[in-house]
Amino acid sequence: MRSATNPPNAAQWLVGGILVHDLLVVPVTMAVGLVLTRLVPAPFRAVLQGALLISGAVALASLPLWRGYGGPADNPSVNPLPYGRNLAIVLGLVWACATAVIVVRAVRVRRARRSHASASGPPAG
Amino acid sequence: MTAAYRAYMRPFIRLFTGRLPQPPAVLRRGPLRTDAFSSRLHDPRVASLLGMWLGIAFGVCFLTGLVSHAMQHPPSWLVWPSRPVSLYRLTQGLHVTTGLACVPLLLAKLWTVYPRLWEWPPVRSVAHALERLSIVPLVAGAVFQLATGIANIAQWYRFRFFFTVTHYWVAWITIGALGVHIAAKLAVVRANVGRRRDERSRLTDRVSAPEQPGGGLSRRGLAVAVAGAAGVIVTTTAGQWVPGLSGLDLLAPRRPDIGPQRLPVNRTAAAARVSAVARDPGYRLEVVGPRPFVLTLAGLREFPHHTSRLPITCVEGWAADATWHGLRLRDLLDAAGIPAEATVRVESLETGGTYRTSEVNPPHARDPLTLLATGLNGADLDIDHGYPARLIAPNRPGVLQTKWVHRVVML
Repeated sequence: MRSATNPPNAAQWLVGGILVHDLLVVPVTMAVGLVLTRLVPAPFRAVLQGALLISGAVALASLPLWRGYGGPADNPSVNPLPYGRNLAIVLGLVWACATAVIVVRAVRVRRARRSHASASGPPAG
Repeated sequence: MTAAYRAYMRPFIRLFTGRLPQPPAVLRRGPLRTDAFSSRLHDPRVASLLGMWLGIAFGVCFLTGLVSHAMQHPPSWLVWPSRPVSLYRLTQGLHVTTGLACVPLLLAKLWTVYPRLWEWPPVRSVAHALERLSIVPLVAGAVFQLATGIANIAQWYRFRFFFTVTHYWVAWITIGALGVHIAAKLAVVRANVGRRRDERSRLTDRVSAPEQPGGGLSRRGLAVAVAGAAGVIVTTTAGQWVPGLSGLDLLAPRRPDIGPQRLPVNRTAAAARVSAVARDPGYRLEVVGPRPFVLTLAGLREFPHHTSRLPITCVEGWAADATWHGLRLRDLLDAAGIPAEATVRVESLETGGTYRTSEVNPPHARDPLTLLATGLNGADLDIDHGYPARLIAPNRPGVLQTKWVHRVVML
């Protein structure tokens, strides 16, 4: 049992997971959030944040595949797909949806601005 | 509770809940400041709802993992049934798919509670310190289980421990820490979730504040994004075990129709070092029982053949349907005079390895679908699928569907 679980190595991975999350994943997420706050105006920022969250999670859950890690060389039925291309297809669809939502929001903002302008504009004549 | 009992318990309660001295305020800098984390997503109601979903998902992973463990290391009181045929396909497929869907759930949940890591004062009481310490095995275990699981299904081994054993034991650590965590946080969840949560708000000081207006992701927006991420992950990976979805299988480590004879392989003949011995024309199948006998390759062909449509269901969470033909195991056992209630051991030509042999209990040994298969999808078995003969039985993990079989022994 001792050799199978290799406690010193397992402990490294257990503690490493916490450290990578708390000191790398969260600060990087915060930095990205800060940049978005500076660069992207309100009704569109949430869409970008959502699309980034989905992209990051999908990429992380399939990381060894599109990075080409793992799989024995003599067994082509393990990790057999063109994962880089497939990830691009999936994320392309995600960002196409995000773009559609952004366009809808932009149209709405412009309409609201126009009706606001005509409502508060000077009376005709 | 009697007054005497209360008086008896009072010193212990005071020991655990007594206030510890406040650290000097000058130390309260950086992330320890009150307003260090401004996102409106750091909220107890969001954390509670995500925690409930994550708890359900981890529960599914834990139970289906236990099923897989019990199947491969059956306790003496458990005889695993051979039906329904695809039960293991369902439990193990759910195990891997739910685990993958936990990636966005866990990350979002940890985001909502991240400021708690920097709470001030760091320790209020002994009980508070213990509760905070119990988070360490919970987060370490949860991240570990997801990371090692994702690495294992891609057969990516950068760690130096044996995956199945370590994943099993860390599951117990994680689920134990989760139980402690649920007990510690039940009051917070009850005060923040449910239609009548307002009536329960006095249970804790961690009550959700009304959402502030802002330009970033709202709480509802976070829920939509997390559900979207889990949905995309499930949709693009579940096709490796769900019939009919293989066309959507874009980001899973296996495709049910890719491999020799359109079926994936986990361990090749070369990896098992049986390439030469399995192709030996002098191959013999030995059946050891009250009336032992031996079959040559010609004898294998002459024995009555049957066809079974059975999935191969791997512990790594993929499953693929195939049409197998070969000798019914129970016909072989009958011919050797092996009684119906006997367990048999099936032995591979491999000279070593964890899965060189497997035991077949009566439900599987006597199931009419169980074959010692010599053919697959209309042709002879490929060497990587176990030529000249392999076991294929319903509702059984792939690692126990022993390949390159040369002996069947009554136990």
